[in-house]
Amino acid sequence: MPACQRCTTARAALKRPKTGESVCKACFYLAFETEIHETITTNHLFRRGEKVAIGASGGKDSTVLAHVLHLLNQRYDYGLDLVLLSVDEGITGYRDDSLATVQRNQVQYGLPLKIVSYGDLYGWTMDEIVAQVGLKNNCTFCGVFRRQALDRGAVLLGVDHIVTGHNADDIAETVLMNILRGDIARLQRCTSILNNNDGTIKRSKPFKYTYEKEIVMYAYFKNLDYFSTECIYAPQAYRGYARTFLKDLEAIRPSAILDIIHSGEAFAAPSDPPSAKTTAAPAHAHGEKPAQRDAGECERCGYMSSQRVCKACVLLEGLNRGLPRLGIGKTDRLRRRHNLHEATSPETLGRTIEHMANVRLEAARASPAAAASPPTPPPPAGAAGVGVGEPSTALSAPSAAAATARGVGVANNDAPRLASRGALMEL
Amino acid sequence: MCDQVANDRPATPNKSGRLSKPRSREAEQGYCSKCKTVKATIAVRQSIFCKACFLTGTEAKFRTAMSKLRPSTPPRPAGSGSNESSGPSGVLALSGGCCSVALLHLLAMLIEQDRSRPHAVPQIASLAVVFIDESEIIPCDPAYYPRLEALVRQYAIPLRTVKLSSAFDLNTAGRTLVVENTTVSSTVPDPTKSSLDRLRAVFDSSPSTSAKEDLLDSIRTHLLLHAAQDATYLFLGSSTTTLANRVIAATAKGKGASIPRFLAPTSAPLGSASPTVLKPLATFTAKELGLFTYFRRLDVIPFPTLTSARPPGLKVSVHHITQSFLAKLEATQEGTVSAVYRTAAKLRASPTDAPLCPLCLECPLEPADVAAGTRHGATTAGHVAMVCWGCGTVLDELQRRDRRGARGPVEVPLFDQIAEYLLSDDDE
Repeated sequence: MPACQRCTTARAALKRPKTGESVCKACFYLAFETEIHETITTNHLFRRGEKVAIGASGGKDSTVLAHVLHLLNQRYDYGLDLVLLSVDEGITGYRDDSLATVQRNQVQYGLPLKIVSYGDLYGWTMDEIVAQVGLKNNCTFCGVFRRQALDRGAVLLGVDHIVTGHNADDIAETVLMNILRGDIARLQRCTSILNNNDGTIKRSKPFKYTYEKEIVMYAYFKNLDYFSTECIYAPQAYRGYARTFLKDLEAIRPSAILDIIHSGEAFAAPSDPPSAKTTAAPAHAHGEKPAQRDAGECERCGYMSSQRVCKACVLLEGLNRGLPRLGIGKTDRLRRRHNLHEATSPETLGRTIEHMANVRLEAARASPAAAASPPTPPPPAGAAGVGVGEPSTALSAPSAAAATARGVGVANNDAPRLASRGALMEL
Repeated sequence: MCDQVANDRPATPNKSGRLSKPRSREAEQGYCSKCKTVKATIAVRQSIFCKACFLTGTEAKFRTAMSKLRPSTPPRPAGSGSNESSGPSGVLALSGGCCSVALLHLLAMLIEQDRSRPHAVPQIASLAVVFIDESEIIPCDPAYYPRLEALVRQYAIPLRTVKLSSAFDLNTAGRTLVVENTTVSSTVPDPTKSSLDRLRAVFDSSPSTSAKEDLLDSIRTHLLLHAAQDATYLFLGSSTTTLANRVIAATAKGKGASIPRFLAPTSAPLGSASPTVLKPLATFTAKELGLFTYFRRLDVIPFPTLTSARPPGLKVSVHHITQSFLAKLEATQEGTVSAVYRTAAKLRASPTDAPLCPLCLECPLEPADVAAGTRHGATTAGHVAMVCWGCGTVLDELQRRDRRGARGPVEVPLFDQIAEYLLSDDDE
C-alpha cells in the first residue's frame, strides 16, 4: 500500500472516490469533515444560537450527518442547539428497526430525540395506506405526509432549521429525473442547498457536495451504528434508471456527480420570463382567482399551501372516504361523481390533521419545559421528557387530559372554529 | 342508440335546430390518419400514416420549420465566396448519418421549389456541403467516400471535404496550444512534426474517450464555422434525439449552462461576423428522419465514430452511456426523448456578461474561485479561468497517459478565439 498522499507519513488506507487520492484514515476523516465545514461556512447555512433539527432516519446519511454536525459544532464552535427529529411512517419491518437505531444514536451523541408518527398525525400508518392504495402511488402519500410531519415535529420542538442527509448522489439523481420527466420548476430549485423562502421552516442539505460512497466509507471506518435496508414499499423504478446511469457515469468519470450538480445550479440561475410573470401577477389580480393563491395556509390544517386545501389534507380526505385517488392527478371528475367539493363541511371529512395553530400553541406551552431541560447531557434511554425525549409523549395517544387542555387553550384564544375542529379531531 | 348517433352524424340536428356541419371523418382502425383511405404502415408523431402521407407530411413540416426560422434571422449579405449572389447562401454540415442526409434532401427540395417560382424570395439561393473527414483518427472503409460523393452529386451541389488535421492550421500565427497541468501556453510547433502527427498524438495518448469525443466536437465546430465563414447560414442536421442526448450529456459533463445556446434554433456562436447556425430538424425525431431516408431511398453512410462497434453495455464514454441510457428509457417509456428536449428548451441562459468558453463556444466562463469552491478538489482541473468547467475536465483528462495516473503535456489546436484570450492574458 502506498503512502498517504496528504500526510506522506502514514500508509494509505483507502482511495477517495471523489478525488482518487490515496489517503490514510486520519487524513480522510479530516478532509471529509473539513469539506462539509467549508460547505456550511461558504453557504452561510447556520446562525449562532440556532436550534437545528437533524432529520434522522437511522440510515447511513442521517447517522453520519448527526455525527459530523455534532463534531463540527464542537470543533468550530457553531453554537448550535442540535436535536434529532425522526418520522415514524409506520412501516413494520423497516421503520421500527431503523428507529431503534436512531434511539441508540440519541444516546451515543447525547442529542434529544423527537419522533412524530403518521399514525398520530394522520390516523393512518403506511402499512394501512398501502393496504388501501396498493404499491402504486404509495410513495406520493409517504412523501407528502413526511414533509408535513417533519415541519410539524420541528414546530413542536421550536426548531429554526431542519437539516437533511441528502447527499451529492441524491441531488444529481434528482436533477436527471427532473429533466427526464419534464419538471422544469423542480429542476430549477432542486439543487439549492438552502430553502427558506416558502413560509416553512428553513431546510438545508449540508451533504450537497458529499459523495455517497464517502459517506458509507466514513460510517464504515468510524464504526457508526446505522441501519441499511431499502424501504419495503418503494419500488423506485424510475429513480432506479437515473441511479444506474449515474453510477455508470461515476465509473468512467468520478467528477460526474459534481458536474451534474454544477449543471443543475446553472439551470437554477436564469429566471424564466413566464414564471416571473406568474409570480408577479397575483399581487394585483388576487381577487380574480381566489382558488389559486401564491402562498397561503390550508383552510383545514393551517399548513402552508398554494391551494385552498393542502395536498396532505386532500390525500387524507381520500383515504378517509375510501377514495385514495382523490389527490392523485386530475380528480375533478372523481369529485363531481361523488358530489364532493373542497369546501365540504368538516363534519363529513372524517379525521383531519391537527391545525397548525394548535400545534404552535402546544409547542409554546411545552417550550419553557423544553428550555429547562438541558439539551447536551445524554438523557437516559427511555426517559420521558416534555416535547423531547421519548417519542410517544407529545403527539401520540391523545389522552382526554390533553384534549381538554387543548380545547381550553384554543377557546381562550378566541378561536371557536379551531376549538370545534380540535374537538372533532379528538373524536 | 349510440350506433345510430354515430351512423347518422352528418344529419344530426344540434341544439339550435340546424343541421351540424359534417365533422371530418375519423380514420378506421389501422388506416392512415391523414388520407384515411390507405392502410397505415408507420407510427410517428403520436399517430399512424401511410407512406405517401408521411413523406408529404415530413416535407410540409420541414417547410414550416424553415419559414419559422426565417423572420428571426435577417440574412447577412453573402460574402465574396458565394457565386450566385442573389440571396442568402448556406453551408450544410454533412456527416453521412440519416439526419444530415435527410436535411440535404429537404434543403435541395426547397431550393428546387424556390427556383420554380421566379418571383418568390428564395430562402437559400445557393447551397454547399461540407464534410469533416475524421478518418485520420478513426479508420473507415474507403468505399464510403465514393458513396458520399455520389450522394451529393445527384443534387448538383458542391462538396468540400475538410481534414481534421487542418484544425492545426487554423491559427493565423501558426502557433499551437500546449496544456501542461494547470497552465496553458501557445507555442511555435516543432517543424519536423506534421499536423497529422500532432493530431494523432492528442488522440492516441489519452485513455479517456469522453475527453477525446469532446475535443473532436470542439474541433468539428471550429472547422465547420471556418468552412462556412463566407456563407449566411450553417445548417446542422441535429434532430430531437440528437439534441436530447446532448442535453443529458451536457448535464453530465457540467455544461448545463450551454444548453440554452445549443438548443436555440438559430445562433451565432462567433458573433455577427460568423454564419448563423440553423437547426431546422430540431423538432424531428431520429425515427422520423430514419424512415424518411429509408422511403426516399437515400444512401445513409455509416461513418464510424470513436465509440463505434462497442457493445452498448460497455462503459466507454459519457456520450456512449447517455445514448444507450436514453434509448433504453425511450423504449420503455415512449416520449422521454421529446420530454427531455421540450424541458430543456424552456431553460434560459443566465443574463451574464461573461465571455463564452473559447474551446466549446457554448458555456459562459465563470470566476475561478466560484468553480473551485464547489469542486473540493474532485478533479485537478485548474483551467477554469481559461475555459469552462466542462472543458477544464477535458483538458485535464487529455493529459492522462494511462489509467494509473501518469500524465504528460498535450498539444491541441490553437483556435483564434483562444489565441485572443491568451494575448490579453499576456498583456496583463
